[in-house]
Amino acid sequence: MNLDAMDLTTDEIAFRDKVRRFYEDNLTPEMRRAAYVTCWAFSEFEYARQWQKILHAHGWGAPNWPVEHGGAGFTARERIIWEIETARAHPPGINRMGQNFAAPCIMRFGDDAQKKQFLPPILSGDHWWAQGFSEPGAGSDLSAIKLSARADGDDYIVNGSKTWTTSAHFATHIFLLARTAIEEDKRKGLTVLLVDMDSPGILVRPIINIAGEHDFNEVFFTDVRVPRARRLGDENDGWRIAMHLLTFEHGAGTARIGFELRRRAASIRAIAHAESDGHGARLIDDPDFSRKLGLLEISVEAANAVAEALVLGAAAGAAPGPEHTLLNIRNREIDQALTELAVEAIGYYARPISARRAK
Amino acid sequence: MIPAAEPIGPAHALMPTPIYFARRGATMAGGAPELHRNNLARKLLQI
Ligand SMILES: Cc1cc2nc3c(=O)[nH]c(=O)nc-3n(C[C@H](O)[C@H](O)[C@H](O)COP(=O)(O)OP(=O)(O)OC[C@H]3O[C@@H](n4cnc5c(N)ncnc54)[C@H](O)[C@@H]3O)c2cc1C
Repeated sequence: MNLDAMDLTTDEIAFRDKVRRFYEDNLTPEMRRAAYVTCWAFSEFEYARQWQKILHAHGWGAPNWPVEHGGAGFTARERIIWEIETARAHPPGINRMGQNFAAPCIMRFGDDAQKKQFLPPILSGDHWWAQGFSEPGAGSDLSAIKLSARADGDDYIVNGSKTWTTSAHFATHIFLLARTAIEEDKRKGLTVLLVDMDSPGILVRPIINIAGEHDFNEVFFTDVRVPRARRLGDENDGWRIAMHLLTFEHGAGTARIGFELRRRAASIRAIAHAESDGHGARLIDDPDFSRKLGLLEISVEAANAVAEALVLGAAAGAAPGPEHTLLNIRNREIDQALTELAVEAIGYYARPISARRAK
Repeated sequence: MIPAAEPIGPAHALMPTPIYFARRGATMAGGAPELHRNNLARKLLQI
């Protein structure tokens, strides 16, 4: 969605301009480039951390958090403006696993000591979190988790492995879903542990993707001791916490995503003006290609219209419902179709090559 | 190995392929679309 839909008040226009100026003044060319060549999340870690520190220094380290934990105190509509202006400026990625996933769970289920220990360093960028949920045999069926945590005195002893763990190679902490009991209902018997990545017995092995990028990893745990004080919430209550986290994973940034889909569609249109159809004419004049692009553009606009209604509805106090999940699924499908069409548009140049090789 | 190659072609041709692969993964993280569709269908049909 874009801001035209919002009918901004004078104060909101002033807020939008303040955010725009902030991005203009603080995003260096190196940071812009780092964000540009990052495909997935935060490969250019040093820039991402630097950026988080700048945000924090401005009091915008985690604008959507409650004010008592360091949030910016934006109104619901200011949050939308923030999201859209952030998408427009395209800064390096922040540590979403820490800020949007671990932190809300720590706020909700953590004790005072855990809140004090973990929330401020997420805000300042000193701690970087990874999410340790998926395992070789537990992906879509998350309840099949096998990594075990056995109680032993004041500790748990953790054994097993996680996979697809984004940014584990530079994370300081991992939000770990572990099995503490075997029950008939597999969702019972899971527990969340907040683990230091430098604990003895943790081994991180890179997974390099087809484009040669290193974003995620396998993480192996061998007799890793985790103090009981690092358990989040109750023992065997991990499923409830994981579900709390996943609602954030599915719901975050609806306004931003709509904006990004529009940008992707626009960039395909630009490419199709520059590329040829292989017979000397412009690709955009190829009826088959332009039909595909047109249909996708319509899907993007339709999804944006729904996003607008949902986001503005939520800002006016409407309770979130299943429409958010529906939109999320649709956005993901459109995202896949757009990125596929972009590859079709560049034809022979579509090789799996690391973007970081760009001059 | 292909990723060790230097980029060729115009600037606009550099990003689509890495982005395609990365977004393919990212749009599956936390459950692929078809899986969520199934979940919703089950819920609606109460099965
Ligand atoms: C880029 C990327 C980053 C990730 N980062 C993290 C991370 O940081 N931490 C973490 O814990 N995990 C992470 N993941 C893992 C992610 O959550 C899992 O990939 C996801 O849950 C799917 O699990 P899977 O890969 O085991 O696929 P599977 O569950 O094996 O699914 C394979 C295929 O089967 C289909 N399928 C499976 N079950 C059903 C069903 N019941 N009905 C219909 N179709 C079905 C799926 O839709 C899919 O097409 C990441 C994944 C990716 C791609």
